Amino acid sequence: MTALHHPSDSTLMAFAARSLPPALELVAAAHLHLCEVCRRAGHVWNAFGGAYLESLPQPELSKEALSVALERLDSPAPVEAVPLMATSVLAGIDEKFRQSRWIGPSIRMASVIDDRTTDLRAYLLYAGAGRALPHHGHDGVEMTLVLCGRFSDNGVEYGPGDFQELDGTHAHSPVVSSDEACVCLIGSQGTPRLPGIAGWVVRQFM
Amino acid sequence: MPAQAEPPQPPLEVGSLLLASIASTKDRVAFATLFLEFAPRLKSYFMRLGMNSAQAEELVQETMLTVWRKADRFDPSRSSASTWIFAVGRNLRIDLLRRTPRLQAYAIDPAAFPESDDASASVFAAERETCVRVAMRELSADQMEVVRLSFFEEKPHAEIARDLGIPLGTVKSRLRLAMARLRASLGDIL
Ligand SMILES: [Zn+2]
Repeated sequence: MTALHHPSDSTLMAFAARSLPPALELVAAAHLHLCEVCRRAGHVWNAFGGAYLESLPQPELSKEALSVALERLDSPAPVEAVPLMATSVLAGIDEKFRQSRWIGPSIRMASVIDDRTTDLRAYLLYAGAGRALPHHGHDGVEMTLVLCGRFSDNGVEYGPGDFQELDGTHAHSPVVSSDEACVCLIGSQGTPRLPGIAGWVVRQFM
Repeated sequence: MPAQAEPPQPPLEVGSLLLASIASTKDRVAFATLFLEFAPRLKSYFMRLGMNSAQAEELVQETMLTVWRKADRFDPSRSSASTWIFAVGRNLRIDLLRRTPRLQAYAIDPAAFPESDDASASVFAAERETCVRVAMRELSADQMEVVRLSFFEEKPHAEIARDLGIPLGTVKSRLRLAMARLRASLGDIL
C-alpha cells in the first residue's frame, strides 16, 4: 500500500525524538510500519538525536562515575519486558473488533489507550459504508491512520495507510466513502469539545 | 557561526569503531573512552528534561550499561554511534517515565522505529548523518534554540515563550521557519 497522506515533518521529528505522547506515538509508529517513505524520512529525523547529543555541554560527573560503570559491566542483564508494539495493534484488529462496543448504527469502537488524567486516547474505529465518522472537535491534537476502507473529509480522500493530523482548529466531518467498512486507528490528546450528537456519543461511550 | 564557537565533536567514525570493539571483544578500554565522551553529554540531556544531578547520573549509568550490553545491535550502516547512544538513553528515559502503573500499558516498542527495508533506496548512514549536521548548522541560533527546546527538551510552546520572553506566535513562526529550512536543505534525502 502506498500512502498519499503522511505525518508532517514536525510530527516525524517529534516521533524520532520520542516526544510524542503515547497515544499519538502509537498512531505514528503504526503509520511508519505501513509506509516506506516515512521510514526513510524517520531515519533522517532520528539522526538529529545524535547531532543534538554532540552539541550538548559536558558537565562534571561525580568522581567515581566511571569506576562505578566499569564495576557494573559484569552484572547479569535483566529480562527485557515485552512492550506493546504498534505491529501487535495492527495485527489485532479483528480480535479487537470482538471486544468493540456499539456506539451508533454500523459504528463500533475498541479502546487501546484511555487515560483521562492526561486526556490521551487511542482507539480503533469501525464504521460501515456511508457512515459519518463520529469525530469531534479537540482542543488538542488528533491523528488518524486508515487501516482499511476509505473515508473522505472536506473533499480529501483518505485510503489505507493514509495519515491525517488535526490540531483542533479545523472543523471536519469525515464520511466513509468505500463500499467496505472503514477501520481507523485514532489517537488524540486534549479535551474533546462535545457539540451535537457526536459529542453525546463520545460522552456516553468514551 | 565561527568555528571556535562549536563544541568539540568526536569524529563520526571513532564511536562506531569503539562500539564494534565492545561488541566483538568486550573491550573495557573502548567502553571507558565512550563513557568519558558521552556520559557527560547524556547527563546534560537528562537534566534539561527536568532531572536533578543524581537522577540524571543514575540514568546515565543505566544508559551506558545498556550500550555495553547491546553494542552488538549497533549497525554502523544505519546510524552514527552518537545517534544510537542518544536513542538508547532516550528510550530508557521513556521506559522509566511510563513504568508507573497507570502508564504501564503504554510501553510502546522501545525501538518504536521500524527499520527501513528498502536497502537500495536508503541513504548511507554516514551521508545522512553528515547532511543532518550541515542542515542543523544552517539554522539560525534562534531557530535552533526553539527546535532544541520543543523537540528534544519537551517544552510546550507556551513555556518556551515564557522562558525566552517572546510571544507565543513568535515561537510558532520560528519553529515553522526552522522546519521549512530543514526541509529545504534535507529535501534530497527526505
Ligand atoms: Zn508516510
